[in-house]
Amino acid sequence: MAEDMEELRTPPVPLVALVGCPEYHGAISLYLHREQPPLNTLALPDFAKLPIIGGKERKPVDARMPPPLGILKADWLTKHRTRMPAVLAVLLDRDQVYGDPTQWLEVCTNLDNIKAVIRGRNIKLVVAIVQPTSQGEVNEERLSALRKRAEVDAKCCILFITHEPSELRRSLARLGSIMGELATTFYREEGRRVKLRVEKKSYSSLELSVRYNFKIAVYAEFRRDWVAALKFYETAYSLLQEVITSTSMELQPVQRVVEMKAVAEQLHFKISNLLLHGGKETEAVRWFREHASWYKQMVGPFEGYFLHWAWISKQFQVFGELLQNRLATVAPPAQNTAMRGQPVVSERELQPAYYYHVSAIYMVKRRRAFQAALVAFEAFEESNAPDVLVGPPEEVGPPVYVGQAPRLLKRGNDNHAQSPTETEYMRHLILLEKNFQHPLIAIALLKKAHELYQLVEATRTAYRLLNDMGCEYFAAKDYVNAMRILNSVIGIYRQEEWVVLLGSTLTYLRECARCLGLAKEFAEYSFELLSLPLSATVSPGYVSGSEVEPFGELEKTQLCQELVEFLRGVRDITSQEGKPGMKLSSAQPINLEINVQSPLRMVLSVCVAFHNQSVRVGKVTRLTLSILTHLPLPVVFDEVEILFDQSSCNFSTQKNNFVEVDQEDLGPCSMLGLELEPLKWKRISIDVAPEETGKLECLELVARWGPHTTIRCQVESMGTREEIPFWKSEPGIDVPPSGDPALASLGQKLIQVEEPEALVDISVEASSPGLVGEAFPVCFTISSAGHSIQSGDLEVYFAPSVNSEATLASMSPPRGPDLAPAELLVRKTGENAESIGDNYEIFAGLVEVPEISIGDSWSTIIYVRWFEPKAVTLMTTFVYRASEAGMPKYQYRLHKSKELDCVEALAIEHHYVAPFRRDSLLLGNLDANTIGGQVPAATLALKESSILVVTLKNQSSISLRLLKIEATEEDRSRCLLQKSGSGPLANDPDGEAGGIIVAPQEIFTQLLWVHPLVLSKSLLVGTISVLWQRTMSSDVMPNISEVPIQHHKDAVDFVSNRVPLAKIMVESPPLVITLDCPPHAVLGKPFTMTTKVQNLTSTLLEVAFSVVDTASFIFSGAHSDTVSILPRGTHFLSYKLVPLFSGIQQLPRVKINSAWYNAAFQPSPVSTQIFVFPSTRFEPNTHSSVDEAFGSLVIS
Amino acid sequence: MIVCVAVVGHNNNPLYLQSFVDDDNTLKFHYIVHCSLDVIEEKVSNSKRAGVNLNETFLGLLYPTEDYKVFGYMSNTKIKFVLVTTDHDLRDADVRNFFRRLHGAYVDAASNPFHVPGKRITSAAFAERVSNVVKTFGFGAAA
Repeated sequence: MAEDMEELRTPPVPLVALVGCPEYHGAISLYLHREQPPLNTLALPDFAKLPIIGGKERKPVDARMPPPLGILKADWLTKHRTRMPAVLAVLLDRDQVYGDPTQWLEVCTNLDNIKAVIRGRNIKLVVAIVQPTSQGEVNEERLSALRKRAEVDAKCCILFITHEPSELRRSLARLGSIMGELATTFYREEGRRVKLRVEKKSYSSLELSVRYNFKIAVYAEFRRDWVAALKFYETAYSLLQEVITSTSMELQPVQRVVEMKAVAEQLHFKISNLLLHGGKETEAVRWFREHASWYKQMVGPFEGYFLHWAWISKQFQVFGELLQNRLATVAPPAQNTAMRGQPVVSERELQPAYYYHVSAIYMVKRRRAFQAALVAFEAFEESNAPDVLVGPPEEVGPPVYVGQAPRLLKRGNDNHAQSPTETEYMRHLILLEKNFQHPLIAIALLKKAHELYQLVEATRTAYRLLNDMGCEYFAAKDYVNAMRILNSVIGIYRQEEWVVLLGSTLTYLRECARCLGLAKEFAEYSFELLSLPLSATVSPGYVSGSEVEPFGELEKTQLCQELVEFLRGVRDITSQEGKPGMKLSSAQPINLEINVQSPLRMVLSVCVAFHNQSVRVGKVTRLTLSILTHLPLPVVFDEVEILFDQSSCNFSTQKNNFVEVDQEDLGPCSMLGLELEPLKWKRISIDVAPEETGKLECLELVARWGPHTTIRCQVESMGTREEIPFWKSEPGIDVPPSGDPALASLGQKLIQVEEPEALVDISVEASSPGLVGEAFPVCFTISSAGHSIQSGDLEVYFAPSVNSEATLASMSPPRGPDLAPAELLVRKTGENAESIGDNYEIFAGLVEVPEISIGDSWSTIIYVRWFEPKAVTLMTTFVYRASEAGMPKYQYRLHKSKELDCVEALAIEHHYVAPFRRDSLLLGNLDANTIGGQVPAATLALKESSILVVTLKNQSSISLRLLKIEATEEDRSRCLLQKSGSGPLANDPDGEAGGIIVAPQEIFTQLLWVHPLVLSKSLLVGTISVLWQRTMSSDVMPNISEVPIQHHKDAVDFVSNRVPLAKIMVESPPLVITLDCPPHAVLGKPFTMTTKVQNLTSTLLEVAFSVVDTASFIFSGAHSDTVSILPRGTHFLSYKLVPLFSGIQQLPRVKINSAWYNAAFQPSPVSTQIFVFPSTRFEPNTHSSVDEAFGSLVIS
Repeated sequence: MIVCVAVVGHNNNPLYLQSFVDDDNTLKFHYIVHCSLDVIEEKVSNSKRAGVNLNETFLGLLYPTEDYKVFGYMSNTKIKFVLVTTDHDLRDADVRNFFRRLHGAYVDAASNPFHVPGKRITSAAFAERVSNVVKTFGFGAAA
């Protein structure tokens, strides 16, 4: 804030003066200053200094007086604040007052002098008699004489006790209160006096009215009567407006205009300050708005324009500062507390940043006006004329009135004569303004506003301030800072697509780059500016004026030509004054990169599409490029290169030719370069032949202008082309490349380069499904279909099968999940092939394939052996080298896979059965019976032959040849195993017709005898091994004959399945009951049925028996009885039976009960059936079976 | 006097900006309208915070510049309309009416099947209608 405003900033404090007894002045001043309200003290050390508070004699105001030379006296306020006391306190020593007549006389003289000094000023007088203590004689007569002499009443004549602390305090309080009271009275009377003068209207000058109202307001402020002060300031302000409107501002001399605005500023400052301190922020804002808009029109004469803008700028700045100071202490006021009918105050106007910003804008206007004034000044004025207003204080005095020019003291005593002439005054101001750093001040203001706007998150306004700041730096020729700041601004305009604003900023940036001689930046900014979708001319910078040329269509064309010529190296760009122009050279080339996100994509955007999705190595494929530019003029590139990730495919117009050129208007196309029309896609096609497998990607297009300029433009796939991220809302900007719709929607910049086609067939054949355990042959046949294979490798391996599920019951031990369900085998070769045992060895994974000439084939067999019934996928990779005519030797690769299923071949089950009609009492069974309710199947009698039934079920869909079933005892001394009968199985498995065929789902049963020799709770019996083979005969599965592999006898393998037999429990039976009965009977012919009960224990056993009668037989013998059987003895229960019915008949069942073991036995109904022949003609000796006998019966 | 009318899209991109002064310096109006978006955002977020006037489209005086006054209006599709005027004493009702008519003109222009939503408005019919609305400003309330 200006220094001269400082005294206006704080409210005036009443001034009092002290004279006499200087030793107490300090204490009294301090006390009065701390009073509420405070009083400033002017301490006069002795009575000789009295005249300094006296003023000149007041003259009555007369209407005939000429109008005053100024409105407000420059030092009037200072005078009242520092030199003109309201009250004068005279401190008189007690000894002087009550002393001898000489001293009294001196007092009287001093009082007379004082009266003479203050007479014309109406200054109030207080007399204080200073005495050390309250004790002491008072001479009443002398005291009243003193009062009379000083012309004060009793309350203004006080005692001042100095040496008693409590009395001193009281005296100070008394003095303070009387002085405060008198000061208020003084200022009220002064105010009233001036007011009376105003009311009387005893003068004709409006200026005097302004002055008087100002004085009344100041006196009111002294009294702290803010309301009255505000009222009179406002009156003064509006009177001043009358003064101004009474004359035309344009016709007034600059000095006068400056003075009036200075007064207005002072009055307005006071009003704003009072309003703000009164908490009326919105009121203050409204007042300021009126003030600014009223005075903004008061421009004044042309040469003083810059002074006007300076003044306006200052108004905004000062008000911003006042508001900021105010808002620093109180919360911002709520918006729109306006009364009805009053204009609305927006939120922005309650923010100091707004005022700083506007102030900065006027600062710029000030600079521009000054530049214009300076031009006129330098044209018409003498360049070396002296500035008379600059000189020593004795020559140049301060102005008498507010806002006036300094006085030239040498020119006489008259105020009028001392004023400088208009020319001298303007020269002085212009020379002063010359040294004023406009841009720096403006930048400081903008910075301040920027910081404040950032606090309220007004982003765009903050960016605009940055932009203005950049322009000011540009005006100050600080191009580096200008570029730095403007670069930070363009982002938001690009993002929000304010093309005109971006264009304006870019014009500045381009100029900055030009002035700094930065060729690359210059080119970039120029390109971006040229490619902007500007629909109208961008006018010159708003704030900074015409430092930068406007940018319209004509300029666009010129600029584009200039830029292209510069980039071609045929033209220099003039740089800053005094510096060499920009010129491209090999030391300073330009290399512009345009990627997908770059704003320069508007300059050049390239889409490519391969015509195919994949290509074989060495084959030619076609690539179509669509190129678009938004530059305003047709562009011709000297050379264009198209770069790929396989550098051998790179294309250059210098070396190759376009295969196909297609433009919407079919314009001419030079053979070496490339011409682009504005806003028209240019389509060109080239042929590419990749030389490496993998992928081929088109990377970028490199366009060259002259020897030193390169533009590298990243290419995009036509199908997945992204929109240009800028100017999306601009209609017609982002036109997709038309042409082949398939290419446009699907075309890619990337193509797969495949290996050359292998001219070889590979077949994998197998008769699925495989069976667990067998070596399942798979035949691989490689046949050449065009390539002569020189060397190759066949790799075979398993791929993890997707649908591997082991749902089938497996007899194989469970395998971990990480283990493969099968293994690959090969048949052993050489001498080992004939040896007994496994004929296979683990396959190494790789087979070398010999040379195969065209048309030939080669095959091999690899075996798969499954551990569990899981499907597997067999993968084959065949890698070979072959030479083709005209082609280099190349490695080819071929893949094939086959899924193989697998099932379990045989389900082998077994169980133990007691011998026919011979039952042993096994206590283990009884125990289990009583405990668990189930008879364990595997409890056998010691040294009794039990039967082992082994059943084999063919689970697969293939007929199996069962070759051998063998039982192997675990330990012959503990348990014997014997096969029942020779059976149909041949002993020699290799025999041609050996074995039996078990059809799918057929069950084969084999019986064996088990003879345990020792007692055991858990006896290992042995194992059953089954040797089988898949059938080869074509009659079982006719379609198998199609599979050539089945004709190989060697290929079919024998499989041996070994199954351990369940453990058995062996007990020694106490009783063995055997039913002895003929195999059949004849109707009416008696026969004998004997039930033999053997006691195998060494004790006497009591056995009870009973016979269940049947209707089919009549019999003789005991029905029921209890017998005792001797140790190791046998009891026979014999019955003679006569059959009464023929056919299958149930024999009477003998139920035996051993009380000792609490066990009962009744033979099962099935085991006690007999066939009764109706006639005796049946000859058991001639008929081998019952069926035959029946047959003979029927015949007979 | 109305000096500038602008329509700003919901991404704060200018859809239409027309100045009505002879001076060809439209750049300052671009700056004024762009900065007014800050005030619009403030007003909208403030009223949201206060939970009042959620359905009020007229935003009133946004801010004064050194020469002009800026008024704002926002449709419920977040299209902003900005009016820059030199008049100091405007009746709220007039401004409201102006914006209502401008909004109507915009809705009609946007309903044109050839208009791509979100793109700058280039329709001559719209421009003509806007200039009519501007010309009859102040009389609109009576009309």
